[in-house]
Amino acid sequence: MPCESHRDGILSQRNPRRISLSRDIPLDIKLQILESLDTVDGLRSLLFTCHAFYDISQTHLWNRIYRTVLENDIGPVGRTLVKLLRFGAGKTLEEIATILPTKDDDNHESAPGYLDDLISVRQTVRFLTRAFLEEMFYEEMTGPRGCEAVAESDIAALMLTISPSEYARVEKAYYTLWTFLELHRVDRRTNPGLSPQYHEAMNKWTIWNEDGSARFDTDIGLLHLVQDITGHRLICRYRDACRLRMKRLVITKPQPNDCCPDNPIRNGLIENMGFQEIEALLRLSERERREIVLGFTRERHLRRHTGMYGWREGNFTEQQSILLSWWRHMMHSRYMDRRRLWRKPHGMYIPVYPPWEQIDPDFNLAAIMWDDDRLAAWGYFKPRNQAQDANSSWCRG
Amino acid sequence: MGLSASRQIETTAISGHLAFPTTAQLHHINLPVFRQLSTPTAVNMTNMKLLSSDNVEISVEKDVAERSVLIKNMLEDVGETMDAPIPIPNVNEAVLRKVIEWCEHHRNDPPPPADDDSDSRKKSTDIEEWDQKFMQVDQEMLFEIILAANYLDIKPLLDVGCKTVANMIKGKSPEEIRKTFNIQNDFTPEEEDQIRRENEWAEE
Repeated sequence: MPCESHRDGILSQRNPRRISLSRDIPLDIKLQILESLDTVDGLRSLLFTCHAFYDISQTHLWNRIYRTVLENDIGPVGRTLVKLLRFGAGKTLEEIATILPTKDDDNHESAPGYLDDLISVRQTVRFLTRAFLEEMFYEEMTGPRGCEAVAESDIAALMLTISPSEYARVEKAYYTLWTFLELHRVDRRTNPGLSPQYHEAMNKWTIWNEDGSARFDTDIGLLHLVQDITGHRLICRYRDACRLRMKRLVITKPQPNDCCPDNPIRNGLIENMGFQEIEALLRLSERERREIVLGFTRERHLRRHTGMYGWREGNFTEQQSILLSWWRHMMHSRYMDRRRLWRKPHGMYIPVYPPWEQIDPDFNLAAIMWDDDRLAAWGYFKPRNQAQDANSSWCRG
Repeated sequence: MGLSASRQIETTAISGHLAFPTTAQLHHINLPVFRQLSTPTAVNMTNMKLLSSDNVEISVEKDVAERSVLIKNMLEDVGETMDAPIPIPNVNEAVLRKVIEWCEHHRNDPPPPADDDSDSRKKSTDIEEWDQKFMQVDQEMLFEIILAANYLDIKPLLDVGCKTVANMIKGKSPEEIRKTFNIQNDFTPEEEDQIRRENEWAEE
């Protein structure tokens, strides 16, 4: 692409007109700017500004740009998830139990289907993220201070206010949960044949750096919230029936006729289906969805009664166990102390309890994904300094 | 990362599926990484001169100037005996001084990795705090720094400049980007309709 102004030395001649990103910047720099974008939304917006950028999408350069921006968009944990999915794809159970990843499994950028995998994983996470955030607006609007019913149009308007950082937090939580889930599913498909060395190798390949640090940081409170809301509110509530009314009565607690009232079954559903099947489930009608969920519940109860599956009521599912383990691992982290998650001033965070077991009734974990300025506008507060309270009588044990 | 090359890490299996690093290993992580403050013993402190496009001579230490691959190659070509200032015809004094300021701050940085490992690739928001402040300039200067970095072949500075522009694009609509970066909308209304129809790939 020609760039006469650059060749003539616009830097030295101080062109009186403003430098234009489309007109005065050479093609190779334009390409680098495109590849530096960290969201597909940003890429789309820039392409749609003018021919100079849009025409690049019609060339052989496009695939590399799109792939790079997708990788930026899904972040380190999303990239880990994709390589994990690709590693497991097409392998027999025996292969999964015996073959460890090699360097070739890391160098997949130009492998067939890689771009499609990036797109597919991002699409699922994006869908679930939007569904999650919509539910959380209902949560906030109908919380202790809110009204009992919210107009769909109000929620639609609020959805337009979601910031990129709010999207990014929830998406990252889904990518992380999905990665944990896939690690666990690899094991379940081959159970009980895997050795501890295999677990360790797979964990090092996906989660831990060589120095023992995690490859990606996690907001453990948000992970738990996303897991809980996905299993409970997204899968098991009858939103479609509610939508038939222009206003939806929001049920804040599980109802007796809930199709899958206990947490282990809800989370077990996620573990068995996986997030892409959950996405497909959520796209079904309410009736179809209910049949699938009830079928899963019946199967679970059958397995329990016939001893085919060691299921106990109230037991942790593997996913919950993993989150608890992760929280214990990072227990020294006090990041919650700086968050604006209290409905009243002078709140208190108890660091020896997981975020989802805090005892302060004014602490609202369900607000954890929102930006600070939004929470300030909604009347949330930061907690008082917890430094001297860490070892007080509030602590358990 | 190939597993065969990885260092063995003791891990503690807590959940049965996730093996967590031991406490001893945690001593190695989350530690602040300090920039190397002292100059390496073998640093060449020889000064040299650059001549900006507006004919201003600027004195600069050789190892700072050699952050520019262009200048480094020029010095190698002339046998490092050049007393006369090196002309930089595409960069004026103000921009050249900014570029030198960046090179001085980053004079001891290790060379960028040859291969672009996907796991180490950083998102565009990941710009060092010093670089973020350095790039807090008006848009004209920002683009001139980018063009100068491109001309002088200073890849890390070009990366920072492009990431800064990318961050300025974040969250903006096409129209907002046009306004921000002085871009003329040269699509016809028909083209705009067609492009939107054809690009539903990005519309979720």
